[in-house]
Amino acid sequence: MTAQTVKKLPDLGPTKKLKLPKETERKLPNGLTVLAIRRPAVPLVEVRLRVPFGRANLARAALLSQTLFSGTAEKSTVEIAAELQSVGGGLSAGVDPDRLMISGNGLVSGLDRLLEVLAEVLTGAAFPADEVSTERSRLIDRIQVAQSQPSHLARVALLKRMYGKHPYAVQTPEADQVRAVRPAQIRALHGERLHPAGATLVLVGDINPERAIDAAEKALGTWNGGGKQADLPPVPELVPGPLTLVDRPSAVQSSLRMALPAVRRTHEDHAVLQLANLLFGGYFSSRWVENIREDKGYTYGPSSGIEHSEAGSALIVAAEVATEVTGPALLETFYELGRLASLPPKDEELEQARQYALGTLQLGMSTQSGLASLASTYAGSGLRLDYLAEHAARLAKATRDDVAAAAARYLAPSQAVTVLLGDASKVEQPLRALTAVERA
Amino acid sequence: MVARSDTVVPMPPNGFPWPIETARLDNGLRVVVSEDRTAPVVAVNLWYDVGSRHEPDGQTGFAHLFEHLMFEGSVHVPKTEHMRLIQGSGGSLNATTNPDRTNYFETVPAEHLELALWLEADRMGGLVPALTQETLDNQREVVKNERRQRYENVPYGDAWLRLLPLLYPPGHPYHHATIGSMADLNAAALETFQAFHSTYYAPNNAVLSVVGDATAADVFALADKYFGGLAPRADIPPAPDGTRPAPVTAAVRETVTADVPAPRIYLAHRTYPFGSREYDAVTVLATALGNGRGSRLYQRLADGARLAQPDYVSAYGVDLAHAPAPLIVSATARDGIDAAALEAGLVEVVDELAAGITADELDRAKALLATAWWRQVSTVAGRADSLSRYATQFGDPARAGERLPAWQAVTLDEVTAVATEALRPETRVTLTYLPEDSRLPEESA
Repeated sequence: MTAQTVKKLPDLGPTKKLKLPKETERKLPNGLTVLAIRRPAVPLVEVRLRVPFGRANLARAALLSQTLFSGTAEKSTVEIAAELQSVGGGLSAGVDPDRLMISGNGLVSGLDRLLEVLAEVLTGAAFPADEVSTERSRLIDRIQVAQSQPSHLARVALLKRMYGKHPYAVQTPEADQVRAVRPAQIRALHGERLHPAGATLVLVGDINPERAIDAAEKALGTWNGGGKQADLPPVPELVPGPLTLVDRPSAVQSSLRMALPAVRRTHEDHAVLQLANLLFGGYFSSRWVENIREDKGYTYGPSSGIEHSEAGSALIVAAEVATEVTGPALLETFYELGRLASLPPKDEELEQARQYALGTLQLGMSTQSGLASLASTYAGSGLRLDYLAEHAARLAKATRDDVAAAAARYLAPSQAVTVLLGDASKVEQPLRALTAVERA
Repeated sequence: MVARSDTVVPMPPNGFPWPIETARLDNGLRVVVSEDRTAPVVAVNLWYDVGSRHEPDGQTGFAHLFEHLMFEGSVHVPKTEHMRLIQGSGGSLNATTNPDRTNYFETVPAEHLELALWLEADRMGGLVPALTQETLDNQREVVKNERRQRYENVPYGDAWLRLLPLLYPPGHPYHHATIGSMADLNAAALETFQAFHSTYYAPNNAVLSVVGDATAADVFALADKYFGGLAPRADIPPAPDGTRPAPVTAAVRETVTADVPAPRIYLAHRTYPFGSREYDAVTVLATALGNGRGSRLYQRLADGARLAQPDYVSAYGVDLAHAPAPLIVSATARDGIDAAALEAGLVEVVDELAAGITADELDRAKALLATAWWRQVSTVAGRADSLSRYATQFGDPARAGERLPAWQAVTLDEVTAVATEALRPETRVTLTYLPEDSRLPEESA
């Protein structure tokens, strides 16, 4: 028969204090900043190298990141990979509108070797023609696949509306632009931009921080500090206006995207805005998710989050909704944004959002790789991890009034830039009942 | 060539560099605790010793469908509340089913440990009263969509479903895939699932591991508080014995023409059970053969002969413990390369393994496996899953510490021996995918 289970939901234990790791830092003469954190859980080391790469040509930058480990004058792509494997490791590169990021890991006993290979490609990557050609076709394939995907198309339309003439307005290259890239152009971009000035190397693991920084200095101290920097202008303010409707004939779902104003991590409103976003749609138990997913079933996975970039931040709201409920889904979205911007939240839901925010902070720092990524991201905003203590304190003390004030300031639907990708013949009229609409 | 590795692979002094404490409740639940105060986070992990190998004919897919039902509410936890409570605490959670077992796990801030134990105990002891026909119908549709999304609607997605019946004879517990058949899922009755829970979801058929910021004494007391009242089950039926399947006597081939972008070949062999000395050698062999751009497959087929697409060469063992586990080697043709040329290239590389691998390859494979092992145990969640695995499958969580030293001790001769014995062409399963348009010339002929 029914076994004896315990009926009562247990009380919450006392909240544990945030433990912040100690960061050791040194700026090398060539401009490279090295941050090292000892986290001896396992004998591994995580490596993150962040190099400012704003305003770089998109197609060339993407190919550069994909072929950086594809050979030097002395070594082939296989030899480089084998050398990294001999220390149980691997490194790879990626690029976004702000930076080029090289990340990887390996056995801590192989840190010197990892750093040597890193230095070899940073100073001597050869971008062999056959490797560039292979990666070029792979990248073109990926771009072509993306162009058939509604989430990509909706993102492209939203960025265009948000950023106008700012470099962030376009973040993926066209297939034709990639096809036109020659190895010499990648080498030129490498010579011009892949330099230590403004770059940050983060090392996290079972290391002695001073000795790890010495090793980094030995390997990367001679990395050429020349080249040029490119400054990103601040992002323009959002210009609310009619909803931009992008037609995708016979789409079975509509992609709804909204951008709202947000503040940088260093701004005093950052913590309260984070809480306001959680209450609205920032996690599973939020108002908007409960409304349009759990209650009405309009969508599978709506999401809302703050995106921080070097030149500015924005709050992005996204949902894929069934075509026939596109109008009602927009109505509920306006309603939940407006409700939070107009009425203070309940104590209970604020507490739950606060627990979630503090809990994810703890979980995010509990592994070497999570810690390394966090330290690198924060360094990109000019911050160190000790800033998290301040942030956690702000999260802990935010009141209902603080959150209501932030919601009124940042989440008001009247300030939203809205884009919708869907079957215009079916969704345009329902949308016009709620807001002005312009065709893209 | 690359210089021989001089890297010292770090080894834990006692196999497993964290404390392990175990207790058994009166109802048979085994509790494993490994304290680690590095971060204020705790992982809770439960292994139930039930998987698709327990499913009789006509009930394939039941263990996995059942895993879904475990999130749909229990006697004191309303539908969707489990998810809401864990995520609302900042935690993460999931569950998986494979042929051997079903596991459930969550990682939460340490102050929410008691909540996680309460939730797990409620669905271990109190699922049946909350299980309704509506929930079953709903989750059956979810699983059928999962089958479509992961296996049917994806190029090559059904390879695993096709390989298993070719590798294991009818009646063998690994003959069918965990996802099961649509027909069996459609026929599933509520009573069958109620019986399934009563039979297998008993405290004496489970291991509970808790790793992180909690003391063993506290965890044992909480485990007793929440699980102690659950009744054990006396006679849990074992899965059919699959440890000695009938020997393979001839190579088997299957060719599938499907909506795939390029020809792909799978070569599969039955090897040895996970946990055996021989399987450790197979693991080292598979790593040298298929892991990353330094691997033999990449060098020979992607970089050298340019037969295979660089992103899709692979070799891996599937870590199953209750019968000889499979080793699967795969490559996908580049533009302009036909299946025959690709297969010839792949077979040549695999057949040459009987001559052994080089000392460099052995060293690199061991270094990669060391990183993989340490990464697995670098998170409290990974560590908890390992402890549950070794307690469930080998009777002692501390045996989690044996694997890394065992891999590091594998010799060149042992690799040669398993390659010679297990990869014989006459025991090989070859599965070939051909794009649909490659069939056109034949049809028009």
